[in-house]
Amino acid sequence: MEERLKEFIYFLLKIILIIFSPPLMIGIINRVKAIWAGKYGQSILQPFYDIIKLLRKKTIRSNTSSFVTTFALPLQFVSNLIALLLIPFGKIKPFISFEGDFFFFIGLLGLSTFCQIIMAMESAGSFQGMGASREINFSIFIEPAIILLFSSMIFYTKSYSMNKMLMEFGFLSLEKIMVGVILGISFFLLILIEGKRIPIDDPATHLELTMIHEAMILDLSGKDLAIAIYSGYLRIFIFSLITSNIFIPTFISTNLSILFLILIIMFISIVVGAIESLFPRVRMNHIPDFMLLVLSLSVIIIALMFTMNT
Amino acid sequence: MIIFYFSIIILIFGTFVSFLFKKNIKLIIFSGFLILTSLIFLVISSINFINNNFPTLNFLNLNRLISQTNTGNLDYFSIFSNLNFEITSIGLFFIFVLSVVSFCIALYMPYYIRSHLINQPQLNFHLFNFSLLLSSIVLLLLTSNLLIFLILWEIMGISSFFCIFFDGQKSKTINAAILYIVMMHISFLLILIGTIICYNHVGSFSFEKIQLYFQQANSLDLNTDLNKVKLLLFSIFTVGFIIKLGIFPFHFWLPEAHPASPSHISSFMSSIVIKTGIYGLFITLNLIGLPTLTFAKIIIFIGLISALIGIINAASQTQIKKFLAYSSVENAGILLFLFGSSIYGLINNSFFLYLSSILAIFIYLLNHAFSKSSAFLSAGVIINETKNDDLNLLGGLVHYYKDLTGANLISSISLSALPPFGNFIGELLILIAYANYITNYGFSIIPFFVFLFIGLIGGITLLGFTKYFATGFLGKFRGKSDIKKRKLDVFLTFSLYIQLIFALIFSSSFFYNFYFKIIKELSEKFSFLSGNFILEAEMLAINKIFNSFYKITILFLALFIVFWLLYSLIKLKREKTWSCGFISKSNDNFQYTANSFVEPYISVFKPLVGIKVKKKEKEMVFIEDSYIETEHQDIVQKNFINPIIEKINYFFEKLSFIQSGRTQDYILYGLIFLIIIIIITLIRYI
Repeated sequence: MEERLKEFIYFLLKIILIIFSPPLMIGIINRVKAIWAGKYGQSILQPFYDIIKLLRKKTIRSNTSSFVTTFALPLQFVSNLIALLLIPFGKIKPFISFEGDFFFFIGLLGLSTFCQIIMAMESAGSFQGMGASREINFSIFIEPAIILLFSSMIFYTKSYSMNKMLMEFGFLSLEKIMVGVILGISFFLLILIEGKRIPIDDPATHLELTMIHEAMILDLSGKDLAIAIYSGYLRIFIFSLITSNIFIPTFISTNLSILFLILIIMFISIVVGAIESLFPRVRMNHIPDFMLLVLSLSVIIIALMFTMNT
Repeated sequence: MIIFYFSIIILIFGTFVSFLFKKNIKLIIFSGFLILTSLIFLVISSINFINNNFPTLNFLNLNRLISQTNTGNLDYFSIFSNLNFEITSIGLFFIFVLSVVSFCIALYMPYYIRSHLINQPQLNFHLFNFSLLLSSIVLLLLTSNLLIFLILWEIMGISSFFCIFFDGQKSKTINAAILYIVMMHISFLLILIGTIICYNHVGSFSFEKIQLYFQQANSLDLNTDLNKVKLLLFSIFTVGFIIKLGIFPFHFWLPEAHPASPSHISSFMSSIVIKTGIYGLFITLNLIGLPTLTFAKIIIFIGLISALIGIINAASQTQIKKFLAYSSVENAGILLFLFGSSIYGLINNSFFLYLSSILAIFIYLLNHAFSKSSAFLSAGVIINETKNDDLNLLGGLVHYYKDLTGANLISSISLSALPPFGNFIGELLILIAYANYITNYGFSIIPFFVFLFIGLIGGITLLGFTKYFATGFLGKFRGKSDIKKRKLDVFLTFSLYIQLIFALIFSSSFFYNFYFKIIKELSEKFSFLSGNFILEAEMLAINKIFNSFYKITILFLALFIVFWLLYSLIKLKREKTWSCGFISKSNDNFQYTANSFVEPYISVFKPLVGIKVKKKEKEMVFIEDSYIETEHQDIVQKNFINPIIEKINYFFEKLSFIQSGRTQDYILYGLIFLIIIIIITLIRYI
């Protein structure tokens, strides 16, 4: 009975985390930025208010858009949501897990990108096309990088479901510490890339020449915009969750791991906020460097594995 | 078996009957017979899907019937029995794919041909060639005799050549068709050489005898003569078959031939004809047995590189059919890679890798055949309706052809290897297999390259298909000609969608047991492995994985449908797209075109895509006329094939003085020839 109760509580906890953490993360980031700039800043809950406000507003769509937008927006949201369900929360198992789900995860992210691009191209505007083109062109190198990063985890944990891969990666030997640090850096860079944060993309900008993600959702409004924004929040939360799962020690208890998880995610948000306050946004032609950096880091991990194990 | 003969005869008969009528009725009659034939094929091959006891089909096997009743009265049938036709489950699988595609083509064909000006004899010839092509492929999939295989291979090549020739007036079509027939004959020549070597050693063309002969070779001892012959044969056959499959560096015929041929033929070519290459590779593996480990690694690398080059080229294309053709190169590359990894798994005794890569081949092949066929058919509709095949001048088709856009949305998701379609499942399977390989055998160079390449290919595929769909169908129409909102024919729409539905259903885990049965039958032929060749545990593991995969996929689809339905209830207000305050009447040209969409990408992969940009732009104060033009030529063709052809041309031009056109000269040549012959014979006698 107690076991069941425990599982039920964990289940509720996971749902609460999934619904509330993504906007909260953004709230923390914004607050950190404001404090750094010497302002009082908005409430941490402001992203919630924004989404609720947008949901109440009337939806206006371009007259060139068609059933494709109605199809793509929910698909993007649902595929991000299902991708989130595959990741464990500390030592709590994910909702669904099977062997080889890491590639399903990548496929879902791809599906969400596909939806976002076609949705942006529906508006027949030049800015939307520009954003879509930049987004998809820069993301070519992301997929191999993620697969290689996961494959190194497969090698060290001898299992290929995301549940075990992320849970059992402990920092127990020198080799694992080296690999783990590079993994952490790579996934942290992926948070910035996939979350469209500075220095890759500025969520606060409205200068056309520098927009990527903002340009794509420029024509959306009301409920469309709310869902698109929430999908973006989910994306950044997914990668923060993966990053924090790598750093959770393997030997602590389940309850403690949840605490650890929340602390690490908060820490990540603070670091992202600090980076946004300290660094400028890089020039457009230097953005692919970040994607290639992640790819080369993943290749370095593989090279490290080869040299240490042969 | 007799049913197969019977239905092929029906088809040929139907073709001749249709010759008697005029254009429209002819088309309807031909399609009717084609539908009938493909339905018969479909029923026979799907008995196999439903019924797990394969031998029940054996009463159809004429050969066995004749060998049992050895009476003299049946001489009439003995011609058939000598031909060695036999039903195998892998052949039936290919026939199943073929029957669905040809069924859809039959529904589609009247629409396409009706809109083309073509005279009666040409049309008759085209229909005859198409039925010949279809029957030769069906027989090819059923034969168990190498000589017959070879003859049918040649018939298939020639009839598909004439099928491409549909509108033979265009010089582009002629060039493409000639390139195609030359490449097919290089492939044919290689297979012929292989067959001759085989016959020299075995003394028979029958598959069974060849198999028995090569099983004597001990796979451990590599230096025996027989093993050398085995390796030689394997390489000759492999090169022969991968030319058909369209693998880099022999892929350049494919992006020329597909756009040149009519849409139903390019659909059939890409989904069935090139897939016979994979069937040929299976036959080779069955006949000759396993090659060496190095060989398997080479196949894997060639496949992966071909897939990468194919998709890199595809993403930069702006012609619809060329784009789809290059995408076929990518898919063929992946199929070859899967084939290579199945051999790799067998040699390394990793049966999980073996089983999942062959299963992946079946699922990938089926899904690609159906989705690509649907995509090609809709490309034909687009070209027919807008008289244009350049993505830069298309766009906004969603406002004119809603059904077409829906079909293309689904086929784009399917072909860019996204869940829940078969291309994705194939890649998922092979990545799971390599992940399993890492956990058991440690990390090596092959899994590393597989992960890297599959990832890169996945990323670029996404780019290519978003470009194709978003610039072709969404936004506003970029062209000048007026197109009208039109609802497509019911049959036409049905033929586009039914294949996608089939692709989704038959790549799901309900049918894995059927695929396992084919794999078992294939595997039993490797009798030298039979000692430890039990795949039950691996099958259970795969089934377990995919049961949970389909649980989550169903959850995913259910959630999506709920959200979708809720979402379509929202009240909308329509406004003009806000373009940052820019007011211009020619707002249509503000859209991103296909070229500008992939511009950053082309700058990265410039050496591989072979795109030439011609520009006329001056540094000017006032606006003057300026233009920009892009031209594409395949890198292999440009750098390797064209120089060779030029050399040959140069050589023959030097010799052209012989052909003076005067009869006297020719008589003189004859005289000189006779004199030389006489001198040679005299020298020999002396």
